[in-house]
Amino acid sequence: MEHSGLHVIDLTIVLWYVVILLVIGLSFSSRTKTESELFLAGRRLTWPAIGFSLFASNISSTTIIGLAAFGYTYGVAASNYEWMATIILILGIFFFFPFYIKHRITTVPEFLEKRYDAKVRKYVSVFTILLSVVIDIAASLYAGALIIQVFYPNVQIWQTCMFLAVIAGIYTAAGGLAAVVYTDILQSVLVLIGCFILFLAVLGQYGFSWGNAVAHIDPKWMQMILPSSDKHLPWTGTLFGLPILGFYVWIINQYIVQRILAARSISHARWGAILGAGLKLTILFLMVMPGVLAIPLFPDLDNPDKVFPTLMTSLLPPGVLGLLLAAIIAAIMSSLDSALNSASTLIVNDFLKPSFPERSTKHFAKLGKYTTLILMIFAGVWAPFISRFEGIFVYVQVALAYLIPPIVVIFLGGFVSRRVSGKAAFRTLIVGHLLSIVFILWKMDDRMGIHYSVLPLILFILNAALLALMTYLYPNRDTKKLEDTTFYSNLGLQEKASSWYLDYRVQVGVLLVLTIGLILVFR
Amino acid sequence: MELVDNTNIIYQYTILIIFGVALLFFIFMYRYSVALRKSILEEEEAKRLLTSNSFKLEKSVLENQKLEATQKMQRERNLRLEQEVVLRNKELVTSTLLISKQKEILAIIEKETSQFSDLMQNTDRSVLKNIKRIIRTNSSIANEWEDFKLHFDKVHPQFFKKLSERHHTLSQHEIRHCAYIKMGLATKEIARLMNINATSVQIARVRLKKKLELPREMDLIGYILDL
Repeated sequence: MEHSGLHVIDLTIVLWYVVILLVIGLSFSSRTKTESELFLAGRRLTWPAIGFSLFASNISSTTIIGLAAFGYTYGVAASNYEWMATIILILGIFFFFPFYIKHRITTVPEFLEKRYDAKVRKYVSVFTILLSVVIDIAASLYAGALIIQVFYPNVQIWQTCMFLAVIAGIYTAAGGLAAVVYTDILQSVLVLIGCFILFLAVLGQYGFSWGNAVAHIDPKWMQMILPSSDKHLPWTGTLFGLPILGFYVWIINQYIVQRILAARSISHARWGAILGAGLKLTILFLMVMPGVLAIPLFPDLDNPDKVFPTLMTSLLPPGVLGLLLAAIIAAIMSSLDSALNSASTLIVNDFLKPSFPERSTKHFAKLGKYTTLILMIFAGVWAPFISRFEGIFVYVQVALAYLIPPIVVIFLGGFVSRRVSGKAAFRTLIVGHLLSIVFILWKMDDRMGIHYSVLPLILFILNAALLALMTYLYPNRDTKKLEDTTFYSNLGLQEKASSWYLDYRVQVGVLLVLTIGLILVFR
Repeated sequence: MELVDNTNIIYQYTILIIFGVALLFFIFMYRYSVALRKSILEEEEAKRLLTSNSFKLEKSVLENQKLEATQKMQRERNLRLEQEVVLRNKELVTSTLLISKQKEILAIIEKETSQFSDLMQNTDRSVLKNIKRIIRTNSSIANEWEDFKLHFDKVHPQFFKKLSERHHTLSQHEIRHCAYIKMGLATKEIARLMNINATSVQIARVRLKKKLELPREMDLIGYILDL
């Protein structure tokens, strides 16, 4: 099976995809007159939209390429981060999302203002904006451009970046969250179909037999839980490090949580999160497995990142290849539009709105659109520069993970205890981040001889101790005010399910059984 | 490992999957849109009911307010009318009394003039005659009665009509008495106006009551005032 590059039919499929995407995205542009319509789709999202959008926003081009590469190098353990997301989402369904829905917040930092004060809100908001604009948006664009360059070597990186940014920016600015979420349905279905076909194609090399395929793989690649001495993902890191980062991504990061805030009701938020969590479980088969199964087929690739493109070009016929390419662009687009929209939401809601409270909601909707366009230009221009200092960028990306524990600590601390005051939380954030920077600069993981994925746990414990100390120094005197923002509150949000299979507790039970089953199968 | 060419199978799978997903999507969208339409309709119905109820409530409140306003206006108008009637009545009384006073004065003047008419010369007598004629024309009772009736009708319309309808045997004198009572004049004033003394007024009243065929326990003055 020899393909010399791309067939014209592949390009046609990609172009059709872009056209359909723009049509869907722009069809929402007439429904974004007010700020709530732009940022929260009028709080009318239903569970299928929420679920698919959670999945699509989370999967970026880096995920698709990276997980296959990860699978190729380390086996199925690469999917640990994915099923951990399922567990974190379940936590959210039970404990956190009801608070978000109850308070009708637009941004997660807004909840922190209700619990603490405006200072904490603004700090966390700035952190989230920087993380999504400088790292998330740019990384997604750059990685996407790199993949497209594999197929179209003549196209420059900056051209692809600008093209992707402009398309995503236009429909995000025009249609807001509604456009983001409803195009996400298309994107995630495309990603799921594409990856499933690739999985089938790879399985086809083993005569479409799962048993035959597994027989060809060294059992050590089929291990989900790796020993604590493992270089890449020891079980200690899986169990302690990943949940802390995952907590930020799935519970605090506006980028993901925004579609949950926009749910029609708490039931829809829960069902949507359950759908999203369920879809995350398929990643093991759809994205990691092709990488693992590629080991006997292409045993000597110089760069594991080439696994996915190699599989695509050598196993997929024309047309299907275009479908996969469209799926990859879909993955880029779906994370790009969410990041643009969430950053714009944070900027308008946490900074512009408190400064100009007298302006109308229509005015803020307009401001939000302009902000999205500005961010789009910024991302498109900034992303190509990553190629100049790629090594540093990857390092910064990893290092930023160390900045997350303080935020998780004050979020959880404030949720569990009423005694924590805004003053204590703010001081913990500042001291905690200074500590993180010291850890990063001193390369603490090497000095302490531990795996870097365990470091977030150590930082988490240090920050928790710090928060306890700060709370002792600046305790919260007026605990009555916090009745609606802590674990002990009764929100009165019980919505009775009309039948057993609509009860979110039953659904969560099924999800848990599936997750544990998956871990047990790939022990 | 040698790569196997599965092109045809992959095409078949791809087409199958895409059709399958499309079919699932349409089935789901259909069921979902049916359910959604139903829930939207229910929501709208509930909203409509709510708004129509509140509209009705608002309307009835408005109507009440309007009614109260008109009632208030009516009351004010009635009050104003009553005040006007009282005022007019007072004017009538004053003018009636004034006229009767004038008449008395004229009568005195006439009496005085007739005393010395014999003493006068012819030319002077003609002057005196003129004076007497003026006095007589001005104090003509019939004239005065017609004037009074006119004024009285303006203040208490229908009174004479009602009175004569119910009791057609009343004399002019008695009708006048009734009118004076209606105007709320005191017995003494009536006596002076009718040129009789107060006791005669009382007697006239007893007779009047009999003629009006009022039962014994009924008050004549009350009856006439209510008429």
